[in-house]
Amino acid sequence: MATFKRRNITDIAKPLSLEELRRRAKIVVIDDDPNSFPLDILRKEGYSLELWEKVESLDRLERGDFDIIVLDIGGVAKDYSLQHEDGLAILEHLKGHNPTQIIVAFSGQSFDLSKNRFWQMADDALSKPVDAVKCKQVIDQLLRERFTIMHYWEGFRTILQDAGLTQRKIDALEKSLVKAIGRNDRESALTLMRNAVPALDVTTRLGVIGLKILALCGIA
Amino acid sequence: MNVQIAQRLCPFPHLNEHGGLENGLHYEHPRQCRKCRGTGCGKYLQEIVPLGQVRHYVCDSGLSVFVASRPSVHMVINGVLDAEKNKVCSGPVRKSLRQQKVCQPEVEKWLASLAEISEVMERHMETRVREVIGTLHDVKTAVNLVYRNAEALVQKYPGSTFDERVEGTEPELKSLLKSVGLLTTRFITSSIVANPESVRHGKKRPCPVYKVFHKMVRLFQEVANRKHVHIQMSGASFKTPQVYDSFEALALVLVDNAIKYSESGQQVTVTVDDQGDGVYVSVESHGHTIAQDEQERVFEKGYRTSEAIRSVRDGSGLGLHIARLIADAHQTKVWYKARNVGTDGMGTNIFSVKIPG
Repeated sequence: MATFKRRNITDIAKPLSLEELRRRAKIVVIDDDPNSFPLDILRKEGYSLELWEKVESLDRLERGDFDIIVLDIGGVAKDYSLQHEDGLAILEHLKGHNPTQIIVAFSGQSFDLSKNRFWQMADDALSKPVDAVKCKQVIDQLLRERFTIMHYWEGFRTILQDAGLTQRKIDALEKSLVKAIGRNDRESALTLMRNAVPALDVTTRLGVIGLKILALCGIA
Repeated sequence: MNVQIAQRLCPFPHLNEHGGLENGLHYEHPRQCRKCRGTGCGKYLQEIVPLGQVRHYVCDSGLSVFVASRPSVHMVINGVLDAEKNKVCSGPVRKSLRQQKVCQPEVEKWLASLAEISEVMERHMETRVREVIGTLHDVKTAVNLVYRNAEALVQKYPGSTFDERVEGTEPELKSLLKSVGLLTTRFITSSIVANPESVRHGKKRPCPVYKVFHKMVRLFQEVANRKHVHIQMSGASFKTPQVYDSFEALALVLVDNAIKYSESGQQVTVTVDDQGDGVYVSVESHGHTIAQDEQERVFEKGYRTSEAIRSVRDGSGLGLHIARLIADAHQTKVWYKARNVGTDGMGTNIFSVKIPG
């Protein structure tokens, strides 16, 4: 008798090559010094990069428009009336909003004891000055280890668990999602994810992560 | 505030940290103390007193001793007389000490003023540090520019990736990139001194240990040549243990030190070998070996052996301290061993480290 192995969300995403990951992942570098990051070289090597000299839109960052945020610590969010070391406030805000958001601490202030929290909270760090090889190394490692369906599904599950959903309900949701994704039914999958928890603030967070999951499943 | 500053600001006679007699700004040691040379009150250097407090004791000669304590400062004030508290002191001695009368509230007042001075000094230091940090930040910004310009030059060479293009560049451009790389690693060492926690910044990533040490050996080739020191690599390693970005600074310190303290005309050998549970690195050089009692102390911040001070004037005593901090972050240790030591103290210095993974 044939046995059928139940498919999980993490089984349905096709593994992507590093070149494909570089192309797909949207990265924003937020730094008031445009010379600090080797943008041209990385763009030429297929990375999808944007440079903001300050936080141009907190909404876009909250919405998860970028898969990786490379964030400086000082003078990047002047428009948001945060304190001078505003990069840390932005990092704390984004991580609180969406713990799966990948953020790289990018600063020359590694010698400053008072900034340790910035480095500790980030997913990885690039200490200025930095060359193109190191930037590629750090971003590639994050793409391989974090820009994965496993990472986002773990974050998604954590939100569901924190909202009080039982394991049984989470398993049932996963089963329905696998079916919807299998049918290439993006709308149903997204509705299932957004409505998993009725609370409005949670719905938004689930939607942000849900879109990443669907993108990695190839039905964005 | 450290204990040396407190000692220099102390109005009362006291013991230094080695038990020696030091006169105060206003009072000197009496005859009794000069005779006894502090042997009777040296034990109070070990006396534990709660921070911010002063305790009164009487020494074997019947004189008052105050032990005062505040963060980083433990003071033994001796050779005085607290007429109120010290009832043991006999009549003739009491008479001879009439110039040495100090009561406990006076010592407490001095201790409180130390706290105020310390606060002012810390604020002053903080301002200065911020100024230096601001300057360092500007230097880093300038180095960024050098990187971007050098990378723009590399882009003119053929190749499908940046790494491929670097391989095809002129030796001069390669040297420039390496030199800026060395400068960047120097920034890491400065950061570690100012902020030891920075050794753990970022995520650990796989590291080709042999390649890192080989890069350092090549970067220091010119320095070694100038000193007529022959530097070479040996061993074979294919493991890539997970390390922090600060690890490169450990390679820098060990190779830099080996050349710096090597005798002219001698050889430095860097060996990197895979072992069962990690990668073993040793850096061997020939020169003055470190005396047994100093072998642990060389890893202390700012400590330099007298021989090191004599042979290399501009050292800071920070290199091995940095190496130890990096090793600690990787749950390992830097070991020192001296071999073939002659009667003149010359021999082989071996610094080794095993990186787990």
